[in-house]
Amino acid sequence: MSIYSPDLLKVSEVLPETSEIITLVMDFQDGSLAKRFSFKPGQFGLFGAFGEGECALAIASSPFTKGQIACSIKKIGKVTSSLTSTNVGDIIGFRGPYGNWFPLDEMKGKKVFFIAGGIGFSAIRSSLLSVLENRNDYKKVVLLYGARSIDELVYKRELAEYEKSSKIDLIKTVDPGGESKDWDGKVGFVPSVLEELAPKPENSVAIVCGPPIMIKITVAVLVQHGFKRKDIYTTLENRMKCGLGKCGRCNIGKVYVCKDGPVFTAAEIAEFPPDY
Amino acid sequence: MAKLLKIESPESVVEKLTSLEKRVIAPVRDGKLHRFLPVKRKEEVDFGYFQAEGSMKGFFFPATEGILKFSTGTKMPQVEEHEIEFPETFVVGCRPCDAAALPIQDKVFEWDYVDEFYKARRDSTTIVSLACTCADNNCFCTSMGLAPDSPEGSDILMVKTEEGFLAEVLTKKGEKLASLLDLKEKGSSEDRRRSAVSASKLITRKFKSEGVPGWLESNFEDPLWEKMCTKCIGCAACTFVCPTCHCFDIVDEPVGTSGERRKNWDACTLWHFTAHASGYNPRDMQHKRYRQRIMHKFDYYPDKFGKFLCTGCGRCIRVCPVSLDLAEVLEEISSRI
Ligand SMILES: Cc1cc2nc3c(=O)[nH]c(=O)nc-3n(C[C@H](O)[C@H](O)[C@H](O)COP(=O)(O)OP(=O)(O)OC[C@H]3O[C@@H](n4cnc5c(N)ncnc54)[C@H](O)[C@@H]3O)c2cc1C
Ligand code: SF4
Ligand code: SF4
Ligand code: FES
Repeated sequence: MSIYSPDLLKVSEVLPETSEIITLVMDFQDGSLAKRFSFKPGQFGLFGAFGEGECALAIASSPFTKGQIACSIKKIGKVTSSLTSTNVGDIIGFRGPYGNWFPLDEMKGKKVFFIAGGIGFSAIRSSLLSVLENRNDYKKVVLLYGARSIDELVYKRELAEYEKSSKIDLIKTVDPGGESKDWDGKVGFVPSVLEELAPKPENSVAIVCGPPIMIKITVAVLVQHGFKRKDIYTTLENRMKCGLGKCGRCNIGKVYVCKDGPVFTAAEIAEFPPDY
Repeated sequence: MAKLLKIESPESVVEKLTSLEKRVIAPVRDGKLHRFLPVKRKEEVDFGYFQAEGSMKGFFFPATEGILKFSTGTKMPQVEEHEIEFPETFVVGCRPCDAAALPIQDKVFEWDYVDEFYKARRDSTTIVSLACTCADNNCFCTSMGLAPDSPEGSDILMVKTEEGFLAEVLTKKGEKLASLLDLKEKGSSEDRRRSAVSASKLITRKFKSEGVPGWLESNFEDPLWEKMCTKCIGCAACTFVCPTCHCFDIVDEPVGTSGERRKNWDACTLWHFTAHASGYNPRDMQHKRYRQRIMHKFDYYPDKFGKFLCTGCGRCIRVCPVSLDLAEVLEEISSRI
């Protein structure tokens, strides 16, 4: 087995999320690997459709679900188009888990603000599920989630559950123009809604995932409200090919996002050259 | 102290190895250029060359190589590993600047995760380099801590002295080869010393490189980049001829319902290298892409692995269609330190 050889996953569920995004639930084909496999929230994999290629995707399922992983994919190019048209029973290649993770243990006893934009939710879902699994270890759990329009919100089933749950405070929003008459959430960009929310920095950490521009503005708002940069976590999604620190694709300054990341604190990112 | 042996000529090494039916790779004249190719007879080889067009990088890290075979005809795709086997090989007569690129590449392909394809080739190859007796104004190995006769990366280094050729045995692989070639007679270390002195005079282009990483680190947004590097047209020729550049892509190449997943050379100077699927590109201007090439070679890699990702072979300068001169950029930087 070379480092580029994938393990095989069999698609067991295809869940439509939006008109462009689906979630795949997949089982490891190899029984012993299914037992052995584990990952930490924030890690990613290289998912491949044979004949089309591979692309990096966050592992979006709970680390407590054994033998099975899920990821959510937005159809945007060659590989993602192929992956978003897979059916139950199809076989997908997987390499991973790669990269570092969110230090959820260090966040115990604190308020955790999850802030996500669009498909970026998939990169924090694993952490969110993990925190909810160990809910008593954390003080307060807030999820601020926004997308361009109602259609583009992922995990709508779960959002509906969170709305009713006392374990988590959900604030959902869509960009102006993306709402409908019966929309019961907020209307506004994630950073502006965050501004309204005025999160208190005391004993708090924030996990922010979304498009690069959303991350940049959201971090700025958090810092304005007194959050320390070291308490703000995000994942960077540079283009990746190998995931192994060799192909050079994901390099920013002295770090390789695939090996040293994808999780970084805003303090670490502030030290990077403006090349991401 | 390295062992010194006497050899008749570099050709004699090829002759002996080919007579033993070993796989030999050596410089071959191809029109006006020289290339590294597998050879069967010593007559095919031309050691009176300056530098080969491409380095021998491709023998260890091929421009394109299959890493997986697949077939998708049935519901259950068949995935097959590529055999990682490589015959015992002797590279004879490469330049020291190309040999020195190998330990540099080793670090990349063997840190943490080991690239078995690369390693299999490296492990089964012995490098017999030939010290330079000529250079041009694009050579700058001495500024990279090397020399026209430096031993880095070689198992045996052949040097021409007034009295004939000496073989400097540098590694275990070199010793094995020396006994295979039946090399016994000892050259004098005085000969070797004299040849080293004359070799070092070959390189006239010199600049101070020690301060370069520090300058790069604190001048990421200096106007120098736009001023000196905008003319780059992003053709990637410089990275493809470079013995140390190692970036690659992974792509599937299907033919009908079967095909190969391949590792192909790629380059940071190409515009799509960092383009996100969303359309956002962190390196949206050409000078930023060229800056990455320099940053990687002279700051990021040295920080991680302790030496420059460049041997000063000068190929990138000779090949650039718009005469973007890497050494000139480095000279400008070192003049500012
Ligand atoms: C750590 C990490 C986690 C991620 N997690 C997720 C996730 O959970 N869900 C998700 O949906 N996405 C995620 N992504 C993003 C995902 O990796 C990309 O959307 C995916 O790689 C796109 O691949 P593709 O083959 O579909 O697109 P491609 O076919 O590669 O096309 C993408 C774009 O690249 C350009 N391009 C590519 N090749 C060429 C060429 N030869 N010439 C010209 N232009 C070219 C084009 O502009 C094209 O639109 C993640 C990325 C990273 C790094
Ligand atoms: S960067 Fe240029 S001079 Fe340096 S090793 Fe590569 S091709 Fe040779
Ligand atoms: S520096 Fe020259 S050779 Fe290299 S990509 Fe730019 S134009 Fe091409
Ligand atoms: S993805 Fe290849 S080095 Fe990071």
